[in-house]
Amino acid sequence: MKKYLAVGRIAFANILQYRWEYLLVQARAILLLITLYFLWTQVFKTRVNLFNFNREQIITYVFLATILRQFVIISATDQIAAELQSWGKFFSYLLRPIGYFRYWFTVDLVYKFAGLIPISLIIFIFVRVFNIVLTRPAGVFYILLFAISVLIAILIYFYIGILVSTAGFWTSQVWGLQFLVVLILEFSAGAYFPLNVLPSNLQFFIKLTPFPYLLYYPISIFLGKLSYLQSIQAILIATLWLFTIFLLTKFVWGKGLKAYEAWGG
Amino acid sequence: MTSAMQKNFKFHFCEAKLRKIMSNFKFSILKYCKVWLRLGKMRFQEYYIQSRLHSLFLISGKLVRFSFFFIFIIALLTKTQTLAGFSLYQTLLFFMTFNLIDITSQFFFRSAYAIGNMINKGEVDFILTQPVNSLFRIISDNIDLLDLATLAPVIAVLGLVIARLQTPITSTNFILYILLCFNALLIAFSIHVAIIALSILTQEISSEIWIYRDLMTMARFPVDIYSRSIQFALTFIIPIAVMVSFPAKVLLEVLSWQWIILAFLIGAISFGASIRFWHFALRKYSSIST
Repeated sequence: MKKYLAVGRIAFANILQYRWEYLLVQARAILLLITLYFLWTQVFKTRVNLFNFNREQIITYVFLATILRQFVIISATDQIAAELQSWGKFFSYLLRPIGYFRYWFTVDLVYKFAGLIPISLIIFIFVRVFNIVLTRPAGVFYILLFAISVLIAILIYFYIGILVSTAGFWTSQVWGLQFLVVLILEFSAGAYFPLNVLPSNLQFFIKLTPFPYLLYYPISIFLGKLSYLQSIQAILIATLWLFTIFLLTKFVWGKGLKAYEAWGG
Repeated sequence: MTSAMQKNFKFHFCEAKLRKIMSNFKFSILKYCKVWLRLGKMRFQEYYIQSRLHSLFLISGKLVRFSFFFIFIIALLTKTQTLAGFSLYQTLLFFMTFNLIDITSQFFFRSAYAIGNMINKGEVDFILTQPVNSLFRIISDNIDLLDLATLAPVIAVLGLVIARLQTPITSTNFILYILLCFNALLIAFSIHVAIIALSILTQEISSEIWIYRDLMTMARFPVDIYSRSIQFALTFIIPIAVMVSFPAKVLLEVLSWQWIILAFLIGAISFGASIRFWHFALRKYSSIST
């Protein structure tokens, strides 16, 4: 445990070394929030209900999606692909007394908390200053279910990130693939708007993938859009997705290790 | 020499000088076109021939983002009928104009994203020794042909959206739309030059360009959705509204001539200020490469 705490401290020190970049990432999240906030405020000026959301619910969705985006979708796993291609850097991990996935999960958590704290603080000030009314969760049990669904979402995204990065075992051109996956994933996860907005056939197709379990379902649970039974059902399906992606990642990772060639140091 | 002969001599002297200037100008234009095309070819080889799969993923990603927002606007406006007083096709006009300006400026000025690396690797030192305008050479270093691939469908969809607008389009409005789009590119150029100059001055890998990109995305929708203070900032401080909303509004005949003049004025001031800033930064530049 101690060694992973040390890994966490180093990862945090690395983030602080590039303070300006770190602040810019937070500023970028705020700009998206401003766009979506004003868009939905404009839409709800003339109506009370739309897509099964009222004004407070949709604004809460936008705020929560912004926070969860920084917590779930911000990840350090995209750096793995670069390491696999960096002349033996990955090889050096195999000689260290740490688990590679555990090492990256620790770094990943540091990135997530470093993103979560400032964005939550900014949103808190934003809500207080502009007196924005938000929807509270339907009950304590819903908060618990929400927390579980977020935890599963973090793990799903962690393994998806590694799975995409394993392409680095075979090609040096992984960045394009990461770009495409993140874009598809963000839209399908409901990071920009609730999936209810989309045409029903597209919604049906997206809900067959693991992506809505990253943001859309956790937020729906928080807002009380799903009953207890539906919430538990969504968590169970998310857990199934987590195991499927975990097994797939392990399998592809094993294949990649066999194909890996290190040179340099 | 009589005064008539003197006048005749002066006239011929001026004519010869003008011809020389024109010929030099033509030569310069041709030279710069050749350099630009050569750099474009080099990037084409890099992007499309050496890494086809990578290019395919990037183009697909850009098309996915475009399609999702397009579907979102259609789905939203089908239910609401209007957004800040604009109908579905009018809102789509804003969205398509945003894509047109954004993609075109990325196509031409992509180098601003890599300026930090160029400084660190010493490429700027190398560029300064070349017999071409340094700013032109830096800004043309990374011509993004991937954007050209996405620009074609965007122009086609923009054409369809304009054809479906219920507002009658006069030739004057259409010409003004084109001119304001060029004005938008001039402002985009000025912002990219300012960011390059800032990087030259601070000698750091700069992320300011990403803030500009995110600010630009605020114009996906008509700026009328924002509060007055944000609209003011998007018009006068970072003129994203002038770049996207103004051309669309002129085509919809909802922009007064005072705003049109102001738009061109903002374009000219931005251009002048950015060039002055660039020269200032260049004078302060000292190499940091290894």
